[in-house]
Amino acid sequence: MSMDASKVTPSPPAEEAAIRKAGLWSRFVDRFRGRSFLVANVLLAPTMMWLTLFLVLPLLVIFVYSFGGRGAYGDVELGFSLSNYTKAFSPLWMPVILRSFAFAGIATVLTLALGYPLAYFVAIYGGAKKNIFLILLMLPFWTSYLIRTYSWIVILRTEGVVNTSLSWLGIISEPLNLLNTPFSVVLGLTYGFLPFMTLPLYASLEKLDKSLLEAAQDLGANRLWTLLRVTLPLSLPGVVAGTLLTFIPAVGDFVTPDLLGGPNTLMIGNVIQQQFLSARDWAYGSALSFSLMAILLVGIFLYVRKMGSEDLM
Amino acid sequence: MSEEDYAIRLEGVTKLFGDLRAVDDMSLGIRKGEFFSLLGPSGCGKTTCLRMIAGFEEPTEGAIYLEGTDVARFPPYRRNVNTVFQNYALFPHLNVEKNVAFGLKRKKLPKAEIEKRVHDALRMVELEDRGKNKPTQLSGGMQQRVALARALVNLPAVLLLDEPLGALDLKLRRQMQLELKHIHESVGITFIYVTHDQEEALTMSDRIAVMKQGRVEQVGEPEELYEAPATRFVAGFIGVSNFIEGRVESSNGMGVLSYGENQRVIFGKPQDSPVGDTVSLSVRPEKIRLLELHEEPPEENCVLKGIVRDVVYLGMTTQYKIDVPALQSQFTVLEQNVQVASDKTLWMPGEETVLTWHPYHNRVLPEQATRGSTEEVA
Repeated sequence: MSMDASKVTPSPPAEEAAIRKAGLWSRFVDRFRGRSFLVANVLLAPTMMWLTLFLVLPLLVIFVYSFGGRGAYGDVELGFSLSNYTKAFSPLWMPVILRSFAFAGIATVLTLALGYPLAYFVAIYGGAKKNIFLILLMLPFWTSYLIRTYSWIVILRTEGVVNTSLSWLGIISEPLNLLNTPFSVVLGLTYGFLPFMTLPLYASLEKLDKSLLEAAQDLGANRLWTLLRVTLPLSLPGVVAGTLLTFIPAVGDFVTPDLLGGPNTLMIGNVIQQQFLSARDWAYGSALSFSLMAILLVGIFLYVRKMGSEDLM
Repeated sequence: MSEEDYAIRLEGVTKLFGDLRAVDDMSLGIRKGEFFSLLGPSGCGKTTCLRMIAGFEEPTEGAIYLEGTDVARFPPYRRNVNTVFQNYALFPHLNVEKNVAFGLKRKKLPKAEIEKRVHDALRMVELEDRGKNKPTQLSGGMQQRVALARALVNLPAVLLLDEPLGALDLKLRRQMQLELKHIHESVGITFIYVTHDQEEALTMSDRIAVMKQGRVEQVGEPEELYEAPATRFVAGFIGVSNFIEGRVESSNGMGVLSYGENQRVIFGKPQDSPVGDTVSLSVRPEKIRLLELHEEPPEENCVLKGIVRDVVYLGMTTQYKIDVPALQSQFTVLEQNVQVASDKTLWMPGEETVLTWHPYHNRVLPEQATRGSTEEVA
């Protein structure tokens, strides 16, 4: 994704201004000329080959499939029909798509609310222990996502940790129905994607010049005003990157709703998975995938434009 | 002086960082409207002192009175002071106008007044046509002026400047020194200026506090610090000094150090240095005259023999390094290149000469009175 590239190598201010002035085309030409063109090719070749083989080609295959139909034995019959797409946008899946966006949206807001203070603390007050905090943040990832999600079942089920503790304390008399609810799915998504939000936030807050915070206070801003007028605007690229890295995979997630969800938590990822694996209708599944991608692309475009982060696109 | 005459008064201020005494029992009064410099080598505590006045550091002990109120424990945003930071610290996401308006917006002033004051401030630093630029689109000198406008627009009781010209090249620096001085005169706000550059401090300041290892060595006007340094450190840090140490051998109304035939150093105030005591003197290079061996120095003058070692021709002046065998040390002597016809034009290395100066120019320094003030900073 292009946002990663712009994070790793921030150009110096003067250069940035010059680049912005130059047109898109001359920028492109300048970048890919002579020696630097060769260097760029050599450096990028392995990734380009990998992505072409395992991303672009499969996507093309899926794209072609999406206009076909289901054969008698679950194979794909190529053809050109838009019926899969009309089915994909049928009112049948509207609630599922809306639910996917709602779950992912709530999870994104929650990860932002949890991740921002966390990233702020590590970046500003972490001091010499910064790396320890970052390792602690990454530690859960040394376990498989599946196992981490399963562990929530142990915590949330009727005889689980939460319910037994609460009834032992006498707070509840009947076990709460926590598992297989929208609550458990959003909780699982929030838990799973928290680091994806926190790390970009950390990266942008870590870069923040601390003397700017002093300057704001010097000019009469208390902590809240400093946060709203200086810290938040300057960490906006991190917020945009974090929300995208959280929201996009969360919308299409199928493992969390599958394990932690119930009958009323079906997400679009589950539907696509079902089409490929149980219903064996690859053509329809492909059309659903592409529809989701199209909606997301439009959404991301509008979002990034709204946030004014031209650096990201 | 009464409390109202001071913009800032420090009383017994100490700041510890772990075991390090960054600022050590410092007391200082800075008068209203004054251009005051804190001068010293790096690590002397001058920046820490400024940061305590701004509120970024809390003193371990002591009080800081800002216009009569002890603000030592106030957060920065509750003090009527503003800072020009060493690295400018302009907000990169705001344009020049919005940077300058930051403090005024916080005070929730009427929009029209904010606009007017921002415009006036930008005109003062000659950047009124750059209001819509982002800070990164400006040169270092311009950014510096924006930082100045952003601080001054709030009309603080005291403006704090933390080596604000450190990042500029020499020419721009000289120009900004004069501009700062002009601005100081026109706004009438108290300036506290931190620098390690003694020339800069002398050029700009009404008064200077020379600091060393967390303590104030001497406070005074530039001329006072140069002509009458109170300690050996000040004598060496402000300009160049020649140091003379010796035992007071005879006191004939004046203190005298004699070094054999026709070599003597005479100094005033013998009551401070009784016969038999060791005394430490300093004399400035430009006060010393060089004579031919056969020339007769005035009776009342100090006289020492020397051998010229180094000659550095500086255009307006010539700087000599001269070995003085009687003191087993080397003197620096600065002569005006007046080139009067009868005068010898330049001395050559290896030539023998006589150094002479009036006893009035000798400063009696307290012998090791301040901690570790024996090493010389030239």
